[in-house]
Amino acid sequence: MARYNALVWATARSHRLADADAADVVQTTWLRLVEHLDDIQNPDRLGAWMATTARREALRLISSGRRVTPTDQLEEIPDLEGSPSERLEVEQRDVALRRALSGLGERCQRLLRLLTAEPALSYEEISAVMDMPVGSIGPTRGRCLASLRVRLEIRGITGTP
Amino acid sequence: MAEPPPINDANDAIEREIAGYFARVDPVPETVLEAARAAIEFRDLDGQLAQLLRDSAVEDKELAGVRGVGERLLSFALGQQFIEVDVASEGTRRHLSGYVVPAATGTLTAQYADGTDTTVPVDAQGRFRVRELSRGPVRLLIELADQTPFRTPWLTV
Repeated sequence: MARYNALVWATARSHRLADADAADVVQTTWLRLVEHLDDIQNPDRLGAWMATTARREALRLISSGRRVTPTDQLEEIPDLEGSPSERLEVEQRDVALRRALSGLGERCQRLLRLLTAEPALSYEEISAVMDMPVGSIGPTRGRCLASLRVRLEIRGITGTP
Repeated sequence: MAEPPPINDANDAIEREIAGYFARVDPVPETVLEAARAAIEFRDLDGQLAQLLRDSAVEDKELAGVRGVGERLLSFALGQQFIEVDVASEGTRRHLSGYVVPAATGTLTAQYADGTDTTVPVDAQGRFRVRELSRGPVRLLIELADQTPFRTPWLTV
């Protein structure tokens, strides 16, 4: 269940829905699943089914006038653990990462959000959310990450901490 | 097997970093996990499931300018029975109005994801109105004289 929640939450968030709208998408997707349990013949397709349902629901909310949140305003600074200097370093990297991510195109932002969901999602599920062939995910990922790395590089952030 | 080229290592590393970032700043909220757990325990309603025929939120964007702000039209069908629903938004409140075809008297129940519901009459012209709904998932159960009860899929309004 954690995987499917991660999948649906990342789907809603990657469409830049705010907290309450993203929560609605998760709940509606599960309710729809329960409604359609008898129609889903193959349990292996469950993730892709939920991904498609969540994507459609997110798009519906957006076109019925829900406001989307600019990515660079989405996150608050979380409470971090560790010593003050470690916290400061993580915070600085988070700020740099947030800015670099928000400079990417919407499709790249969405893909990277899905590729880094935990627990990890399958390419089939990501394909359903992105409405993109499975074969295009790898090359697009490479381009998006290259662009992100350049953006981090010019901010003086390289490698892992 | 040969070592992967360094570019892949760099991509994997940055991806791990993004994963850590999202895990820190945007985990799935506990309330959402609870709502998901509640959703899978939801009992099926009696009544056959009507199909969504049309949703103005997805289909006729070109007409969006014609309708009032925050209005959405939905059509459902089950065999020869139809239901048209107009969803009006006012802040976090929703007002539903619509009609069933063919017209018949009966009741319409709006059921919410927390298990509560509201029942309103369907008049002789097939019309109904549900005022002051909260935003969120809802489904409608329609029980008309001399007809099999039917229900709509869950919708986020």
